[in-house]
Order: sequence, then C-alpha cells, then structure tokens
Amino acid sequence: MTALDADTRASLDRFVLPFEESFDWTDVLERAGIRTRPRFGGRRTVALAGLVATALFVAFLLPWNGRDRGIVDRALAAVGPGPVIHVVTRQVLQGTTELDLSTGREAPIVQETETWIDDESGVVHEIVRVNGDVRSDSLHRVAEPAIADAHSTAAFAVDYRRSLERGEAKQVGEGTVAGRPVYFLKLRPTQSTEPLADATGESSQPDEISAIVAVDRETFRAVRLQALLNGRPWGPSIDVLQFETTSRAGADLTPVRTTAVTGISAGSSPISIDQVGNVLSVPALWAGSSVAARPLNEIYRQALVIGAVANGRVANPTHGTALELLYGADQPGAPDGITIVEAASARPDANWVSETPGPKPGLAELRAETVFGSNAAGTAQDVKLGTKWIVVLERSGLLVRVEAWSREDVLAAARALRPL
Amino acid sequence: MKQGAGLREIEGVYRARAAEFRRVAAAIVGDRERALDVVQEAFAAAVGRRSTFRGDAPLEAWLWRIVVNLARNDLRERRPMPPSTEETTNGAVEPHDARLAVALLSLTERQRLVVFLRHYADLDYRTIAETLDVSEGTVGATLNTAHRALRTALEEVTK
Repeated sequence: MTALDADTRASLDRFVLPFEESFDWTDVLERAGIRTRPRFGGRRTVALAGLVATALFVAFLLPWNGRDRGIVDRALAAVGPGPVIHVVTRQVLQGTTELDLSTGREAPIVQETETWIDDESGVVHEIVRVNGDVRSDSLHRVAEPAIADAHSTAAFAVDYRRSLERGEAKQVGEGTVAGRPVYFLKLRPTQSTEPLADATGESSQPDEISAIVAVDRETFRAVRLQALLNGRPWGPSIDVLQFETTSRAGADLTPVRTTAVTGISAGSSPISIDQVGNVLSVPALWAGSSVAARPLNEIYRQALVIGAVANGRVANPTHGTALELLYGADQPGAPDGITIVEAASARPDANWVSETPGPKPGLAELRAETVFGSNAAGTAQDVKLGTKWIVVLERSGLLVRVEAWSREDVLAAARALRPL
Repeated sequence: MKQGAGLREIEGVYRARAAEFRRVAAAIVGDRERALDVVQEAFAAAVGRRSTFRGDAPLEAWLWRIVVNLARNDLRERRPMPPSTEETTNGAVEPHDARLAVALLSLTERQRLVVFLRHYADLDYRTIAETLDVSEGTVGATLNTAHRALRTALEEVTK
C-alpha cells in the first residue's frame, strides 16, 4: 500500500472540495420511473385520497369567505405564544392491522405522534407510539419545516401556527367533529417541491398542498386535521389531541433516547439447511420444508452493516447477520414466492427485518403494500405489479418478516413458523 | 450467489455514501453540478437494473462501477475542457492547486480513477479492483505508479 505525501494529499483535498451530506432519493426513484408516495404524519400513513371520506370533506367544498378574523385570532390565542409547539396527534394506520394468528382476530392499529418543535432552532423531538408502545423516538433538526416539504406532524404544526399568525388561515365552514361543534379553517396553500400528485394518479403540476383544521367552537383548539393535495383530501384525517405552545424550559427537547439505526447489505451467500444453526445467535425459525404448496428453494445468509445514521453516513458500523428463506422462488420478492427474513430481535440486526419493533408477543402486524415496477418485457415502467402482503412478528428471540403475494399465503407461512 | 439487489439496499448505500459518489464523479467530469446529475442518473440506472446485480461482488462496488462508467461517458459525450491551470468556469471544479491539475493530466485515465476512488471515496483495493474490473495487484501497482507520477509532475511544475 502506498501513501501520498501530505502536500499532494492536501492538494487533492482542495482540488475537489467535499460535498455536503445531502441526498434526494425521491429524485432517484422518479428518474427510475418508480412512483413515490408521500408521507404524512407517520411512516405508513400512505396517502389514499380516494378512500378518504370524512366530515371534513364538505368543508373544502365551501367557498372562501375568510372574513372572520376573530375566529383566527382566538385559535391563535388557544395555541399560545410560547417558543416551542407541543402537538399530539392520533390516527388509525391504513392498510395495517394487528392480528392474533391463533384466533384470527384483527384490530386496527392506532398511532399517536407526540411532537415538540422549537420553531426558531428547528429542533424537533418526535415520539411515535403504536397502541401505546413507543415505536420510535427521534430528535432531529430541520431547516424549514414547511408543510409542503416535510409532510409531517411537525410541518403541520408550524404551518398551522404561522398561518394563524399571518392571517392566512380562513374560515371555510362549520360542522361537527366527534359530536363537537367546530369551525373549519383552511390554511394558505403552498406549492409542493415533490411530484406529490403522482400518489393519487394525477399528473397535473404544480401540486398544491393545504390543510383544513377543525377548531373547537368553544375552546378554539385544533381537534382534527385533513391534509389536501390539489384541493382533495390527502391521506386520512388525523385527530389532534393536543396543540399548545410552551417555554423551552417546559419542553421535552432532550437528547434522543433511542437511536435510529439502519442496515445495509454487505452481501448474501446461499447456505445449506445444515448450516442454518450457526447463522443467528438464537435458533432459527422456518415454515417447514414446504408451505402453501411451495418448497423451500433457497436459504441465504445475509451479511449486514448496521449503525446509527448521522449526517448521512452510518456511524460506528457493526456487522450483523440475518437469514432469508425463500419458498417457491430463488430470489426475494419473486412473483408467487414466499420470503421469510429473520434476525435476532435483541440485536440491531433486527432493523434489517423491520424498521420498527414487532407487536406484542402472540400478535402479528399485517399490512398490504402496492408494488410498482417495470413490466416483464421491460418496455413500461411504473406498472402496478400487484399487492404484497407482509407479516411482522416477534417470536423466540427473533424478529421475523414474512412476505407473500396473497393474504392467504402470508398467513399460512406465518402460522407455520416453528424452530428449525 | 444471490441475484438482484433490493431497493432498500441501494438506498442504504446511496444515503450512506452520496457525498463520496458525488466527489468522485466531480473529479471525473470536472463539474460539480454535472456530478450531482451523474450520481442521480447512475442510481436511477442502478434501481432500474437492480435485478441484474449478480451478487458475486459487494453491492457498493457494483454501484461504484455504474457511477464511474456514467461519469466517464458523460465526460466523453460532453467533451469538456480539461481542468485549466489559468481559468475557472462558473460551476466547474476549481483547480485550487494548478500544479495538481497539471499533474493529474499527466496520468492515464486508469491512474486518475484509482487515485480518485482511493482518495475521495476511501475505497479499499478490493473494492477499487471490483469497480474497475482489474485485479487487486493492478490497483496497488497503478496507485504506486500514480503516486510516483504525481510527485514527479508536481516537482517538475514547481521547478
């Protein structure tokens, strides 16, 4: 190995200066012809505008009147003058349920997001709870949490307060939400910086983002939010449980308690069934030699690089391992195949299996995702390939993800899981 | 070996190493703005071709190969001026050290690529070898030659 002298090294450093740690993955996907989906208020809050039918729907049909500044002022007074916004929202995750595999009982998954936003410094502390359990807890800094760019609870909160302060929120109607009389306020529309309309199958541009907020007629506190994309409901309506401001001393802007980690594949290699026992730190699970009429075709040992993400890089990376079992196919995600991915739940390796922990023991998280991609001939992109069903569960010290192309198959494989 | 790379795997490498990919691309094409575009296009191409990833080399090396090839093609197609010792253009990589620009021009393309991948991306010999489709021994020898040539060229320029 040779080394450059310090002078040449310094010259090279100056020759091409380092780039900022920034990235635009959405742009990559768009260039690849893959349709992207916006997020609003949570990881799995996929915009399904066509399915949303709430009482708020009537509100945006009403014409602007925007004359009752008194309502806006009182809503602003209810928010308060503190430098830190504290907002708690609740929503039912769409397309995801909690399933008892033994009884078949399914229940909706309720996600609560508690957010503290220091608007001046851009520090945001976000705690996401699913059915009461903390799923993520992150502290990060955002340059400008505008609603059109972030599609997050924090963005909504900042935009709502600013709209009230600037008189850019206008009353567009009255009604009831959960039995409470409310005013509907529409926030000033902003232009999106991403091609968001693709998520609803539209191609018009530019895209216009706004939101309607239901404000309690007695307390003038926000009680429900409905985001709008190009004037139509965008994503599910979100209950606003709390919206207030506080001093910095009274805010929870403490350093993050759980660190977001990511897993990167460092390569995979096929192994025989006899070698599986040495791969994970706990005994592996499988669905038998065949499941749903599909034989076990391949087993892969997945080498992982795991670490906390800081400034766009994986800091302090460690090595991890996961196991992939492929039924009825020889590569993950192949049409008609069933894939089982598992890793020790006590290790960060589990992040490769699922970004969030599994549900409580005995339960499984079931969700459906629409998959887009190129057609078989490669002549068309952005084609809907089908619906992939995913089960995530925790069992015997392992976090397990099962993927299949039908609900029946994914449940059959999840129910068949047992020690290898 | 596994066939195909996952979107999430590609995204992971992109998010972890975007700055380095851009820096190497900028060194090759000589323009920071074009480098941004080249890297975006390269990853879009990787996403589109992900099913062809054979898995017989690390995913990152496969991605580096795509980025480097696209940057080289971009350079050829656009036929830019080489880094100048006398002038800079708006948005171009500024030759902060004119001596180095001259010295780099004295290298072969392979030597330059090895230096860029080693210095700007901190890649090990194996990954450089897999990226450029040469042996590890060739990488070591090329890097040795390049370093020697750089030193010589720099000394000659300063005489």
